[in-house]
Amino acid sequence: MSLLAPSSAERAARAAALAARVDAASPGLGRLWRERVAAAASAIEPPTLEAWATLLCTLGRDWRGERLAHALLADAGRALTLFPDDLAGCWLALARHLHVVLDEAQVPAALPAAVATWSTAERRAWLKAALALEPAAALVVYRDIPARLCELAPRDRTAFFAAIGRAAAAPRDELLTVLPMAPALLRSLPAATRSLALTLLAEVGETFPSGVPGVLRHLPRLYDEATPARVAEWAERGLAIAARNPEAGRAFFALASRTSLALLRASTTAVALDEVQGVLRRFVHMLSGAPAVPRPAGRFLLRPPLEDAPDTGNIALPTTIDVGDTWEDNARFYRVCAALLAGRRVHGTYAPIPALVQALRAPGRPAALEDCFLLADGVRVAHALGRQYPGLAADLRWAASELLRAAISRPLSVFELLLARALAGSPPLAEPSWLERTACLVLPSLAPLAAPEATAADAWRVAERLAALFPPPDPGASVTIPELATLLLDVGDTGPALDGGPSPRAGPAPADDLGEPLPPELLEELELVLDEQLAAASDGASGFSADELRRLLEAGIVGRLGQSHGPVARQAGLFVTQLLGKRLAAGLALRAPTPAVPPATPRQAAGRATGAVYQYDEWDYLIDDYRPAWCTLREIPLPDDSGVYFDRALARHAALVPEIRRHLQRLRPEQYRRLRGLEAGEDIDLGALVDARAQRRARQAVSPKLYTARARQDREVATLFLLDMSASTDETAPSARERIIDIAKDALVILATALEELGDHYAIYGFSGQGRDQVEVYPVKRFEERLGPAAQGRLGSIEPRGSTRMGAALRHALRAMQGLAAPARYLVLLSDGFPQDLDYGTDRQSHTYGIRDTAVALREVAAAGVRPFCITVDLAGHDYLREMCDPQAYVVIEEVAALPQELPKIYQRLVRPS
Amino acid sequence: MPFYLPVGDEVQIFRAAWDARLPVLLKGPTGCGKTRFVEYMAATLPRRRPEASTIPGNLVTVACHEDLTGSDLVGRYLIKGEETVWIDGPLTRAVRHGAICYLDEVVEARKDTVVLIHPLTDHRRILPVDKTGEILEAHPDFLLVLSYNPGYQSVMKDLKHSTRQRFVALDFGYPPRDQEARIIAHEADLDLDTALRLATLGERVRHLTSSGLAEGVSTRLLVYAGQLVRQGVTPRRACSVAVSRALTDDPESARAIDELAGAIFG
Repeated sequence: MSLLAPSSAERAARAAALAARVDAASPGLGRLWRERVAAAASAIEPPTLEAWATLLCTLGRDWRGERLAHALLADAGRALTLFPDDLAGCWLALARHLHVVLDEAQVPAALPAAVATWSTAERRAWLKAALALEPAAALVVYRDIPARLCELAPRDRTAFFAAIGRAAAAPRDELLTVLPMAPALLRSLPAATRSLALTLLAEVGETFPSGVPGVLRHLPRLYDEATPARVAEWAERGLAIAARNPEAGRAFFALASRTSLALLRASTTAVALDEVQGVLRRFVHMLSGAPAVPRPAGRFLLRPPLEDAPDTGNIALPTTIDVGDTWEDNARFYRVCAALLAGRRVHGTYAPIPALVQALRAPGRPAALEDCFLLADGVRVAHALGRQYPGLAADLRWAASELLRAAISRPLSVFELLLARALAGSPPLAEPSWLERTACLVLPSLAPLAAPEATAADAWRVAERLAALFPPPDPGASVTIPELATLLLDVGDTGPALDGGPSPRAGPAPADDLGEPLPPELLEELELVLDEQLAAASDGASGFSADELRRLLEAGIVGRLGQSHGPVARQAGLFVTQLLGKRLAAGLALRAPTPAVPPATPRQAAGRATGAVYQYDEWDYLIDDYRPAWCTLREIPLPDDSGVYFDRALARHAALVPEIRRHLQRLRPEQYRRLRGLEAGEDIDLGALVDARAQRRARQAVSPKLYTARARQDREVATLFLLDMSASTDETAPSARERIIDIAKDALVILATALEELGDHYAIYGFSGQGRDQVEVYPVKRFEERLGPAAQGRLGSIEPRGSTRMGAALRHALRAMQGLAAPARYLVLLSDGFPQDLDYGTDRQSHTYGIRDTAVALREVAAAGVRPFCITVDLAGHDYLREMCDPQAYVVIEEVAALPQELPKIYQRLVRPS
Repeated sequence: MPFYLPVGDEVQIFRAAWDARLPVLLKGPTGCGKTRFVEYMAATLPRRRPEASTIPGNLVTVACHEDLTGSDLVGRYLIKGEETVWIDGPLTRAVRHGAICYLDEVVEARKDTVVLIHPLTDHRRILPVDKTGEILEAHPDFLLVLSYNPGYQSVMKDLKHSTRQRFVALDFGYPPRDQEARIIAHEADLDLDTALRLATLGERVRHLTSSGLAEGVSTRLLVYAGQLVRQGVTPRRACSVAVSRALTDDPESARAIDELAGAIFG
């Protein structure tokens, strides 16, 4: 074999031979080969041509392959270039693999242009990953993902595909959901962390492919909440759990188990929202005067996200904060965030503009409008808070200074840094020069918002002006520092300090920074600059360069550049990046934050009044762990029927009520006992007095215990009745004419009337709901209330509702019983069936999940010192109640209509002192 | 003269009730100034009979509790040496000598005890003393004043309607912030700025009564905090010991109040 390169004649001969082979397999293909490939054969390596010819001959054997081959040859140049040698076979195999989701003829057309810049190794990894996945996921990887991976380094792309390829065994739906977001999720990580994340992904994919979707989805959160070393430890523990229990492993990697969150957050200085949300909820309530419901939302920002539905009382707080050096510092950041959110409520951020978030994101609005509004209104609210709360003023200054200090090593958005700069009061010692200059340009517009009379509408106007200067960032650009199309006028200072003190630079703050003329000396300089530029342009020259303009600035010839009006402004449009942008690009790798998951919009029943909102964990027997904060529960006020039902129920059972009273009176102790032989009391004990006289006469010691008194004996029993208000209670009870719910209501009317006389503490709550995000509890009578007209009216208005998520309702009932002083506490659950809800477990055909969760909830109740007792009118109740609780802790009422008679008797037996 | 800053027309109403000899019922949360108001009125009301009252401040206060008996109010026989002597109870002393008898937190007392006052609160204005066989006619300057906290009402601790409907009722609440600040400044001998910050704290903390806190912080506690500040305790520490720890045992509520104090005082 000759070691010399083949001659052109030899190449031509080989090409002709290959063409003949293809022609022999299919004349049509042969013709295309000659048209599309042969002409360029001299530029293609012989092995590649050989491989392609072989493949085309193979494809030509069936109609599907022939179609693919035709489509392939239509764009032969590109394909042959991209897929030499064995890659050709890979690509064609993928084309066949995709045929269920993509017509073969479309495969070449769907070939992403982005892969043209990739190396062979990257393309190989990409094709192998797609081949490993099922067709729908393979299509996403093949067609959609490559364009979104441009920002990644080649080795990261290769690692990404290698990791994804290992996730073939992951649940299809989960993978399909997360794959399109994968590039954005990776891009949101710092470059240094990205390769660690990909390694982690590959390890999880290797051992537990089902965990890959969860890890991928939560990558940003993982590295926000913990250091890379901790994340690696967390993954190791997760794999161990997955080896024992795959379902638990899936929940673990999806951050949907308590264990997972606890392990991730095991840090000495990081503060998790769980640790402080109770305090912060109350803090915001006190500052704003309205209840608040914390919801986790990303990482700490000095400009927290706006609420889609502010009326619900939700406040978005970071899931965890690990910005500061100590736990106390991180807790202080939480306080700052909570205060700003409270400040928005108090100072009317949402007041002037209905549906604020939607308005900011409406089509046609500038892309940076929301960021600018958060910046502008952030300044306004911070100053308003600082005036009223000196302590908060100090906290805000501190937080701003800390963020500026941390910005050296921790990427932050430019808007975040600008707000920090505005609040810090004085520039930091090591401020990047680009920030200094940007602040000089932007902060003067924000200065008027520090005034006490500034409103959210003023902030909106400032934001619109600022946003117009920030064109949408290039989606493909890694640095998204906006370019200012024109510059702001700076005719004054940068605003007063947070606590109302003197500003760092003295000078009058402009009432409106638009419309103010340039100072004469500045105008003169600018006109000089413009004259030069226009003169240069009219000579056909391109005008002075950015470097030249920058030199002018640095030389102080032009102190600042201002926005002028009319044609001069348009002609003099100056790009700050020409002055600053190059420094920005060369400086920190800054980018606007890209949330991996859009903020959750809380579900809310339309047209329903809502009270306080609570979140409860739920036991998942499949993962043998709690699902943290899994259920959202609301207390819903019941309407008042003015006591109509209550009175009628008493009338219906007029004969029964006295009997019940007599029964329960047996529980009532003798109210006053006479105590004798006391040293002090309300009456003289004559017997003791006579004895004392006799003792004195006999010169004996006289006892001072000569008085009597009456001692009161109280019952110390507290019972909470929890009534199932599910839709099934609307059914007519067997062998009765009434609905189950009405029979239960009658029973409670009778019992409550008797308990009022007995003096036992009791409460009545109903529960229902629809799904874990909408569990509903209806307070009928709280412990501290009397059975007055209001409580009677609410009892009468009980009606069947939705589902029966017992676990969350029991946990809430337990919460209502906390703090009760009674030593004997009982929780009586009244139900007509087993626990069930639309998402009470993944298998809607099975009740096991609900039964197990309710069983655990009942154990929690008992562990807290409250004795639970279940009463059901479901004749099949034994089947599941025996699984949920002890035999002595439940009863099945076989005749529903007898519940009004039976309930007081059950109560009597339950609370009777032993 | 006890210091009292009127919030509404309570002084005028009480004076009118006094003039008409109508018993008065004061309703309001703890530490809002009910007792101070009674002390103030007792000190400022003119006596109808010229002889001086033998009762200091012209006021007899009884702190009611569930063991309070009729004998505790009316009087009892006590054994002194060889003798058995009758000792007037506080109610009898007030009736006899013409003072204001103030039953504080009257719902704490047993209902069978409270009904003893009924003859004093209608047109008869008499107090039967069964154990001595006496029917005391009330001194013209006698007035019965009751107080209680409606927030503590429960089935067992409630005024009977036959008792409630014998009184003129005045509602008391915590004063508005500026007035409360003046009260704090006076009582604690504090500068107005610090007093205003304490009043702001009180106003904010009272929002939590709809979210788990049984009662809002009383003016009394804010005065205590002010007094501690006057003694040199830092404001935040004073608020911690006199407000948050006194108000609640819930650690989250206490900490939230501490955070608020930090926000206000720095």
